[in-house]
Amino acid sequence: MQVNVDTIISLLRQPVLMSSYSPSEQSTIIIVLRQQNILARFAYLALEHGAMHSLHEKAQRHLRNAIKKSERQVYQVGIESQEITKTLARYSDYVVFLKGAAYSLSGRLVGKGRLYSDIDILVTKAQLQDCEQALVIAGWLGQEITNYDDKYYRKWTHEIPPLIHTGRGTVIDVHHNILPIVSKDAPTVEALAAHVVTTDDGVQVLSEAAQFVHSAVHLFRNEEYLTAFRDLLDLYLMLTEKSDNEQDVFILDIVAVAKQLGLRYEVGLAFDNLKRIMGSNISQSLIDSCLHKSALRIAFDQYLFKDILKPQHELLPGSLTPLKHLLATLRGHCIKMPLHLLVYHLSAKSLRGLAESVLGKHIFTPKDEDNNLSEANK
Amino acid sequence: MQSFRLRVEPFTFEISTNIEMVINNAKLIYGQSFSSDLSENDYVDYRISICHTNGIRRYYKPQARFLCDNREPFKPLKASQGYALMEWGMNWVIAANELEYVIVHAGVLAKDGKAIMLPAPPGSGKSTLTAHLANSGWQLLSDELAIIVPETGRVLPFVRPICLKNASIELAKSWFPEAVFSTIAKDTHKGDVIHLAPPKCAIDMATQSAEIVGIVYPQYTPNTQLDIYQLSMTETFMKLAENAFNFTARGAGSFETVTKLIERSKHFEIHYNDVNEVEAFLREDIIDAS
Repeated sequence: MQVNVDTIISLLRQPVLMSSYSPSEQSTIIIVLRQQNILARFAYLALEHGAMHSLHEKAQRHLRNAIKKSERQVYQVGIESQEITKTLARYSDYVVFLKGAAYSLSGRLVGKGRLYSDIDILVTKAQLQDCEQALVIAGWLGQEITNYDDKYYRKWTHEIPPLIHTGRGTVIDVHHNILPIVSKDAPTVEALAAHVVTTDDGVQVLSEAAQFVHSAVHLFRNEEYLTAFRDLLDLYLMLTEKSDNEQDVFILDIVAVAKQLGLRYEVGLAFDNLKRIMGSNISQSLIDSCLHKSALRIAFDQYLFKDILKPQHELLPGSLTPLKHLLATLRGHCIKMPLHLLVYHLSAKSLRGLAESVLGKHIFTPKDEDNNLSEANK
Repeated sequence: MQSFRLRVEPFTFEISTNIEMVINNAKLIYGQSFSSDLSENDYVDYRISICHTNGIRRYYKPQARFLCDNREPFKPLKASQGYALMEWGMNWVIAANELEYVIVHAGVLAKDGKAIMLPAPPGSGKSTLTAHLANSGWQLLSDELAIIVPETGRVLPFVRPICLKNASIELAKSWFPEAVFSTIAKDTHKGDVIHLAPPKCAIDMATQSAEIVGIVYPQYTPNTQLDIYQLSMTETFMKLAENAFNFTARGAGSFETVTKLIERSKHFEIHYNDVNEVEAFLREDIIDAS
């Protein structure tokens, strides 16, 4: 059997199929899953479906390693979330954990084995500066970035530059909205606040339906799609966690929240692609009612996403689509900000990008030979 | 772009590269464990690449870049250091992913199935000592990574070349004139670096794990007799934690493994300038006494 894109997709739906592959095919599958950042997620699904013991012994070890990595992250985010909530309680009306961290903290299926590199939080915009200062005092410092990037973050986007904890190395992205403020579609703070809930551990996250909407918005307003399959799986697992009856109610809930936040189109794209790629059972008329843009725009988006949301790896024949990635990046930029800002932003960025593409990616990398390789050879 | 596999028990690596010196050195150093036949149905654990950076940089002071699963933990090095980068990259991949094992930065050598671990920071002479022992009747399990199975406390061989630096290079070449050496990677962050192929007997024993009976912290000190200090369990624990790669990532389980290990073994810090004295000490006072 050849390992291809469809293999990977079907394995995430039915992990038991893994044992029908030869040991060397299993090794290919695991390498692809690890690169796509979904190895731990697959490992949990395999455990849940009782598919673990029939695998090649080495494949099992890799899955157990992945689970260990994920367990560690869940443990760490549990501690960090308490710390962050405590640090900011006095300064912000709410401290909401978003995306990966929220999935872990809500104990949902979508959080099982979900890996992420930073902790995203949402605070009120008016108190943003106080929050940033409180975090700095608690040990989270900003990195060195160019003045242009700093200004870009603060003036146009919905977040401040990332903060890194000096002792523990954890990275926080502090947001004050779920979309860039320069994009005309950013929901109001009041509309967002209505969907904040508190977990049993006393930390705040978005409601399940709002998490779905945010995840969809994030995926379909992104500029980078190399591990988009992981994000599509987030959406897929949020649905499959529910029983069939619950799922219908949940889907209506999602649409209602999307309407309130004015983000129905992205949810429509999410439903559409879940149905096409993952075979989720969602009524076509509901999908069509969400896709309220021009026929051309819908056709373009469907053309683009039908491939780039699938797993991509050089070991999967025909899975790499560089042109579609380029188009998706352009699309992401175009819907992010008004045209005059985009032109300005891209020309500032592209001078550097151009230099990097001609002279090599690392031409601007600061010389830092002492620290080089310190991780492997400390 | 060319690809090859390295079968280094307990892992198999598939490596892609477009840098000739990487392939030449890998072939030379890994010998039988090197294979350019990718059609074999191996279980490949990790795929990594060591490639030129893109752009015209390839022609002006060319660089080598390490990638694994789209991750790039190191900044690129000079292309002439590409082989060393591959070796360090392989270490990183194992330390970053193999959380089932407790992994300590240490040389490991055994006699009669009893192993001594030499955890040490760079500059302590650990690799020079390892090279000497590996060629004096000891079983080489590893020069850099002690891979410990938590359930049994035994250490698995991970037989890779020994990484020698600066003055040790000439020393090793004079000690082992028959041995196989890589090309020298000049001016790395560790200075000049060479890789010495492991002796054949070590590869033949690469599936035989060993019980750890001693933990010795070597410190090369010129103008000294062999000074031996017995360490308390606490001292050993702290020193071991400093050299552990994946303690925090593995969580509490590691501490249990290490505690048991320390309780069962002898531990010393030694200051030496004569590897033969060290060999006699390790054999008589640790191996024979365990």
